[in-house]
Amino acid sequence: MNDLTKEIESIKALQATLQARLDADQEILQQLAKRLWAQQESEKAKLSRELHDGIGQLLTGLTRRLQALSSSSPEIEALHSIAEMALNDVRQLSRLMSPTILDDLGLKPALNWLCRNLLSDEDINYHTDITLPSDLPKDISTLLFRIAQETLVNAIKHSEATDLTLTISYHHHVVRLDILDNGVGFDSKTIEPGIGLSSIRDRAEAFNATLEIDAAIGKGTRTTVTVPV
Amino acid sequence: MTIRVVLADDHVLMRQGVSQMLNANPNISVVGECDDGVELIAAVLKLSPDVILMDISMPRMSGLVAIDKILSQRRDAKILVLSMHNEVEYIEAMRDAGAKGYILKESSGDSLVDAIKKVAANKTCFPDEITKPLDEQCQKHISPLSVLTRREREVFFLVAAGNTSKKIAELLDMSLKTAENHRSNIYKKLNLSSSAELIRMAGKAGLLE
Repeated sequence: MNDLTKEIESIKALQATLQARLDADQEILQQLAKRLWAQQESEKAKLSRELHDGIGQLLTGLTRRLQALSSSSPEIEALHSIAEMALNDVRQLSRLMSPTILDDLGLKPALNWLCRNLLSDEDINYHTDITLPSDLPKDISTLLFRIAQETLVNAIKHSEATDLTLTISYHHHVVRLDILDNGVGFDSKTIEPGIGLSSIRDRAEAFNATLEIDAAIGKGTRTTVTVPV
Repeated sequence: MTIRVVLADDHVLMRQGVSQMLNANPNISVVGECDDGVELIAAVLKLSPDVILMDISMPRMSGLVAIDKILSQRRDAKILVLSMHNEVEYIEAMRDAGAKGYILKESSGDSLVDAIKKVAANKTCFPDEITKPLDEQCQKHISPLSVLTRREREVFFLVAAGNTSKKIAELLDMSLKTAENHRSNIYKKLNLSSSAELIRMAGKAGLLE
């Protein structure tokens, strides 16, 4: 009897050790995943700066020169508008690649900027309602921004939505992001997630966040993210 | 009287250029130059300048945090933000943080000097972007259609011309549901309840061909 108790005790102890080791490995993997995402962000930031300071500066020079000449002929005026469009495209691309507004002003203005930039030229009316804790960590801001960006791009490409709502609320140390559109929706059983969606799902996991996409044909799409802070 | 300015920008060439240009003006003197927000706060406390001319994106401490810290130490500090960002979110955030003015780096030297003088005289100086939404609100009274998106306006005119949602969907190459969504949004935005009301409204506003 005594032996049996001892054996049970030792098995329990072994189990606890194994569990602790598993938890530690899990923790290491999660840290690794976080580092990978951080690295990807810094690569993007680098590329974005090169785009802005390189092609961006050249196009700025070109645009200014053409502007100075534009009164001389309608042809040059047309070239000036084309150069200006190219410059605006490069700036927009660079900013979406690495949104400095997120570092400069924080998540709320950054999300308002994102919606305005992506949606105002589309036929999508949008509404935002954002409440955030004052000390949201930067990596979580970036996570939520990237998820919103991917979701908005999907909505523009596929949803045919005319209305979109983005809300963020904060209760009991959990931040919740909801993006809801009134578009055509999709059948989540038959549609394979694309690279973008899989990528934000992986990313959410690295931060213990849950990502749910609730869609049905003809009933719009709701994307919900909850993340502990 | 000379306006004493402290200037903060991490781009050295930019900062030197602005500083030289301002010092060439007999009414302005740049009394301090800083690389980042942390240096700026120290300089403001030490030099008590008349105007603080500062960038937003800076290392060590962002402009937004720096403004907050400066104003908590010197409530009457006059801050003019010098930035490359022309987005309305930036301008609003700086105004809300307590800056007295906002000027773009691409502005001419003269307009920068003007802005510094205005802010020194305790006036505010923000670009048009911030007042635009007000103008747009005024326009609502001029054209009732300004609340609609481009696509909704197309749908509006097709409804006004007597087309059914099905026909509109065909004409604009969209699904029936999308056409109906547009239609119901138009009704909601213009406070209408039927196509008859829409046509009546279009007629009153002189929008029928």
